[in-house]
Amino acid sequence: MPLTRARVGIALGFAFVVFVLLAYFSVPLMAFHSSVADMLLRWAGIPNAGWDPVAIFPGLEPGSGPLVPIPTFAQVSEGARFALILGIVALLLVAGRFSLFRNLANFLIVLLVVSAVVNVFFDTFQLQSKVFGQIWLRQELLVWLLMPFVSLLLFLLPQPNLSEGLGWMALVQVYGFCFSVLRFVFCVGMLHYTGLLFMPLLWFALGTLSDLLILLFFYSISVYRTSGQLWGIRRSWQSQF
Amino acid sequence: MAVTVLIAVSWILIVLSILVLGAYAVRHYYFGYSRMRLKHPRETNELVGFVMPRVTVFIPMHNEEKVARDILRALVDCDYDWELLEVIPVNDRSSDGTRAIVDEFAGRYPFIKPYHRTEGVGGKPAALEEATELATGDIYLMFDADYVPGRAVLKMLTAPFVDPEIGAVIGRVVPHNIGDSLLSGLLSLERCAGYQSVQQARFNLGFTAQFGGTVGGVRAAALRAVGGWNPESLTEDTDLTFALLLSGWRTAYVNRAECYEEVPRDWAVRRRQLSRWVTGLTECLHNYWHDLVRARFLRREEKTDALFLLAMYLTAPIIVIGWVASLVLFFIPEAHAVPVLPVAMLIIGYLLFSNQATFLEIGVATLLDGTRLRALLMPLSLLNCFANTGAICNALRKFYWNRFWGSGGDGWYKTRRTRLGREGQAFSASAEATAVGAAQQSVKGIYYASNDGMGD
Repeated sequence: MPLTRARVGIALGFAFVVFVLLAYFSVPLMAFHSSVADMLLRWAGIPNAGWDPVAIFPGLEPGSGPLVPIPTFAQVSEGARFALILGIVALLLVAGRFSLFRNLANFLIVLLVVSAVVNVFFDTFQLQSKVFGQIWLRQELLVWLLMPFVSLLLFLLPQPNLSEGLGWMALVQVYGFCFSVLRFVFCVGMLHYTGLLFMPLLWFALGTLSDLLILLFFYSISVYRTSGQLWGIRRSWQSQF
Repeated sequence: MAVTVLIAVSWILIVLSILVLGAYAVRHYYFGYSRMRLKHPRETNELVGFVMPRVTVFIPMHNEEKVARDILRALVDCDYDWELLEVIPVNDRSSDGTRAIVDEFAGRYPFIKPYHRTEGVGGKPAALEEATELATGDIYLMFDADYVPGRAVLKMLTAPFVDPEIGAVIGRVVPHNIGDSLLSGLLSLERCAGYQSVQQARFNLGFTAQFGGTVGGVRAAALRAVGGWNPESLTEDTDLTFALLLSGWRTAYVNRAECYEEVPRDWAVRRRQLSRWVTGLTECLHNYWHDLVRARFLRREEKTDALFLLAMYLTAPIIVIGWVASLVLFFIPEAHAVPVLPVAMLIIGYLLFSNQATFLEIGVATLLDGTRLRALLMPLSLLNCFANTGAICNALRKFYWNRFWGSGGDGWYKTRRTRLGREGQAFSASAEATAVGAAQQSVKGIYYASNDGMGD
């Protein structure tokens, strides 16, 4: 794995070019994100009165947020409240049964309980879908912009074959975009049907943690593929320096 | 007003946690890429077999009947000159059949000289402290009882001592029960990164490797110079690392000196093991940080690395503080105002880059080892991170509580061995053999047996 200066320079150059292209086309990219999300919202039967322009970052705007009705805690259906209780019970069961999952499950329970408490005692707390869309785009736009540099470290440099590294880079970028639309639509749908009850949990699980997981998933596969090609298969008495 | 203060405090906590954890991430990337450059300024492998000092091997044992036979057999099968070898199984108040096994081997091999301990302070450091008085070697090597040393490991571990600056040496720990449970698989990834990436990188970069009493050795003169083992410490090996470092000795890492270990297969055992490490390492931080900062003969990078190492477990509460602050901000609508781009970039950048840093080390170690299928476990390591974070926070809470109130704290806890019905099997092929290669075959046997499920 020759990690030469030339190799680092070329990889850095690629990452920078992709970054500049993404920044230059950020507005059409966000518009495309919204149009795909709009199509999926309609397909899922979630009422959307349209898309309002929202500020993202100076120089990288505007984006747009959906106008989906979101109920307050008082308006939320009995089914949603029951789902919240069911979710807490399910997580308690997981925490009790699987010790490795315990801390994660406990943290998710805390998120649900805090959410329930805030909803009960601060009924006026409200999050509009447009604002949610704005927060989502701010986060995801930065993820898209920074992803080339993460790919540089995880995929481009460790890969013995530069073109394969570029392939991974492109795959992660495209998948990250598509997965972002899916998660966004799912979250908006949950907001529409359950208000803010599940929002902290969804924000934690489907926010940047999801981006992290995607990266990790692809990274593990790329390491799996590269490992055998590059160094041969390990023998127990043999340890390569 | 109160809300504004809460928002400000939350932002400050988030930024601080990002800066601290970001610094650790930079260190991880540095180590990972340093390993990928494959530069090795120090190499003692050529000297293996040419450096043969008189060696005493300690094996601390406490109720080890399931594993004692395997390690004693492995040591008998090692290719070190028996005239220069002394093995001292330190039987620390065992109540099972350990004593009988040790005595049986001592009866057959004159260089095995058991030390049976029936009273005194419990724990490995105290037992080692007593047994050291009986040792006659110039170099003391030590292995945990559940470890299975490879055939040439004694020669490999003694080779670096040709350098008079080297006070201690550590070998590589390779888990052999990877397929026992999801946890043992995940821990194998952790060990793989810890040794193949981090320890080797630190050694290559001229930082001190972290001595491990599980597979390691120390120069007798160096040990005497720093006053012997610290029986008060729960991690006597880390304590010794820094005592040696501050006395001018270096610790070498030998990646090829592999020893096969049984990692915890259930979380209860792992939690207690982690708790002991957290307490021991944090204790060392409090004992040594001042001397480390003041040490004139250490380079600034060495000091920084040493402090990063000692403060490593403090990152867990910092992560939790960051999470709590984020949760607070989520529920305050005023906090949803547009953050300036650099701050937002900092947060998202941190989430993407910092969290991947440890996985890069795992990936690099996996690439270097060629352990293919194990790489696919990486996404599940996130579960381990969550579990570790909680356990570390809990251990730190206990540590500081005990420190504040001056109470004794946790005592020594011995990690439970299971070997899951494989006891004695590791060396069944060479039950009576001392033939060349027998031990190696056996070690390979258990390695591959445990890897069946992983396909390595």
